[in-house]
Amino acid sequence: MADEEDTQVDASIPMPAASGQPGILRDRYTIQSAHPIYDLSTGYADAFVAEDRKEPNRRLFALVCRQGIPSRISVMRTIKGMSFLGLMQLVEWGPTAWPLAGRQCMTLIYEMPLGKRVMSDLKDEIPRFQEHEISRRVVEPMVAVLKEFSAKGVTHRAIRPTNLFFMDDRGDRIALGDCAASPAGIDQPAVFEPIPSAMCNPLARGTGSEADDMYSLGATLAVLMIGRLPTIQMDDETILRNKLEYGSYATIVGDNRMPLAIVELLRGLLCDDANQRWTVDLLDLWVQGRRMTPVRPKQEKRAARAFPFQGREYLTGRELAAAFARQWEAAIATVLEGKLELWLRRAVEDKEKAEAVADQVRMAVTATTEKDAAEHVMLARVLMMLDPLAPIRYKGFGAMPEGIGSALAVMMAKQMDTKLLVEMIRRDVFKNYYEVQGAQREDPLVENNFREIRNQISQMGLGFGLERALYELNDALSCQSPLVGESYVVDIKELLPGLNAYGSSHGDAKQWPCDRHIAAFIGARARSDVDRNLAAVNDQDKSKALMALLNMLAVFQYRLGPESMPGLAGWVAKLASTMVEGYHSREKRKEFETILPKMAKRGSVVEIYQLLDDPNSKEKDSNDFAWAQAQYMAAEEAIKRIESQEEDVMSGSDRVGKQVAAVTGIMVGMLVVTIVVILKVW
Amino acid sequence: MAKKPQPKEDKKGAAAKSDGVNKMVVVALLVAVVPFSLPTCMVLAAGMLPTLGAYFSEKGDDRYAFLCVGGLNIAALVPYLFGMWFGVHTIDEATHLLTDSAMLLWAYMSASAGWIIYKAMPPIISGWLKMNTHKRINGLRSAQKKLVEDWGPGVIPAGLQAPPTKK
Repeated sequence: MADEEDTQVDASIPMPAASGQPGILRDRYTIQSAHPIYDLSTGYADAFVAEDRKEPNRRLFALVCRQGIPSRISVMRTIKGMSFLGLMQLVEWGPTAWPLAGRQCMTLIYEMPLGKRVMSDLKDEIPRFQEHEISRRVVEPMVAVLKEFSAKGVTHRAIRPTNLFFMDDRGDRIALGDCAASPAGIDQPAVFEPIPSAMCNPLARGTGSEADDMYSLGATLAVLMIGRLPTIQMDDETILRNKLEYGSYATIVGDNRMPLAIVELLRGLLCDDANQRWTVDLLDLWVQGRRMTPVRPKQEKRAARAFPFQGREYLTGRELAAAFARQWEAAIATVLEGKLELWLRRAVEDKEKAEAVADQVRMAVTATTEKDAAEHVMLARVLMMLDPLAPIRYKGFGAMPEGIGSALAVMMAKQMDTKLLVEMIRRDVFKNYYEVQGAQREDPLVENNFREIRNQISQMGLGFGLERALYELNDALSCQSPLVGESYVVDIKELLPGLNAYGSSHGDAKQWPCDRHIAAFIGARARSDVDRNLAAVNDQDKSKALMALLNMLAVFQYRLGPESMPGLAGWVAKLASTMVEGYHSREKRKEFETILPKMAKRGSVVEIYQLLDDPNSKEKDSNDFAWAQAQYMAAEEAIKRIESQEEDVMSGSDRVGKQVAAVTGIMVGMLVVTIVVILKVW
Repeated sequence: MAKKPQPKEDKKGAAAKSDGVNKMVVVALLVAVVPFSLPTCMVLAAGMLPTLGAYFSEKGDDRYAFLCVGGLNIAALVPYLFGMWFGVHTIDEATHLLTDSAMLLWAYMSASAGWIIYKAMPPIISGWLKMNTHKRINGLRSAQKKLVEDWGPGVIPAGLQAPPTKK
């Protein structure tokens, strides 16, 4: 049921307890943590009263994003300061030390709406907007906003009545609310999303396009014109099925009467074919009074004979694909039986598609390994063929390729089971997606990216695995490691200062300045290829692994600075002392013990690395040690030899003594004879 | 026809026979000299009695006492013999010398000194050798200790004990 509330706080993410300390953004904006505004909070960001120190009279509020949720930083950059009647102005944004979370959180400062939301809840009924009123108060301001968005290449993806605010007391000015604090389309109920996006899991809708915003605007205008949401009693599945069967206009507007001009507007905006849907320029023309023929979307070719599946009959590939996606296991059996191929060949008369389906079935049947997995991948690809515009669907999970990143981030932040997403990446479900999309959405870059991520995710060491996929797929996601402490680290150059801050207070020799998140963050954000270094960090030899890590940290400090990081250097020096123990020479150890603290004080990881990275020194130490061992052994053997020979020597000493005495006697005798001869002769 | 190998005992017997012949030749020569140097022989016979005693007092292969005692014994007699050879070489002079207590005193005292040297030398040599051995062992132990100080106990190969340290 489409009854999501914008103000509802997600229970799975803990809401921090109130604290009196404020957060400060850019030394100018004070965010009052003690004054939450529950009415302005969104599903993934909490609202608080904010003050501008330079302009105290300015009424502002702050949205503080939850940890682990990727914000749309590119959108923030684009819309900051943008001043339009139809857009709640984003005054400032950036990470703020947030006392309630105990770390830095992404914070957005918005102008405070003086009124309430146009609809507080989708269940609410509101006074109907009149034809002239909706054009002036809603469509005109929105056109200006969406034109600017289109020109800047960004999308809003949060256009719905519950995200429209009365910005003044009188309710004249209506503006769109936040669209950057959380991933695109994540809070959107299925009714406000075009069919492909509605088929997606809300976490995995991706950034979308201008056409998606136009559709959401059309659905929003319909609700404002009717004064309520006509589909409020339907669940998302029914809404989607009705949209597929009867079209979006018929599903949302239903039997409600509309002025002719509005019918034309809504048909243009709610057209299910994105190519035929009104663009913002056409909408602008409508605002200026030019009337156009209502759009009649092209109908998909209907089959001559319906395809029976699970008690219902389907005449188009798109409807059948949606039914298959809903009843996954039953669909696999049906497709494997070959019924689908026959139906495509005979009833739809699409031989090309029938052949492609037959190929996929053949591959699944002949798979020698992981037969079960091959069948699931087969169905996912068959669904792509049946409905090329639909998202990738796999075991009931629908996702746009560009939405996988946000889905992974939110699921990891909420500690949800990511097995399905990992399975999708590992089994290369994304292959063929752009191929079946045709020229419309060809994006080989994304496809190659997924191929790389598949390789990375299959490796389990530091710097790879799920965490690597998380950062590869979310450019704007901050590093989720606890080792960066309170810092909000989005760019690689912010990593070392974060580690430095943490190391100043917590760094110890038992913990390396690197965990799975940091290694994956480095792998994804480093501009150079560091995969070889990361592989070395996983070396079984701990000293080699540590040297590889120090090498990376030293390179980052050398390239990105800052020059002095005593916290990190001290931490690294403690780790290095464990490496110094690897040296056998005590003299060398003493030398290191003297030098390392000095280098740590200077804050240079580079110097510490250079000191330790001396292969000659290490080799010399090993050789000298081996030599010393040999010396010791030789001395030991010599001692044993001398001790064993001592008895023999002592036993022969008596004879030697006698011999010496004899020689002495003879020598004395000869000496005396010589002297006497000399005396007598001379 | 192959010659029969000579028994070893025959060889030894031949060597002993040869030694015996040599000794006989030496004794014969000495006896032949006696008529021409009877005074000298008289002095030597009386003066060298300790040497003769030393020769016969020892048994076994290691008989070196007569050399040590003899060396010193002859050293004491030589000045008197030279006095005779360059002076009066007569039986009277020999008799006169033999009755001179000084000559006999010198001869027998120097022989005694020879005996003292002969008896004292083995323990001295033994002590010196023992001291030398211990000095070498201590030197090697010190070298081992230095290696342990420089490289740590890891330098001691497995199965060996660290060298004892001096308290």
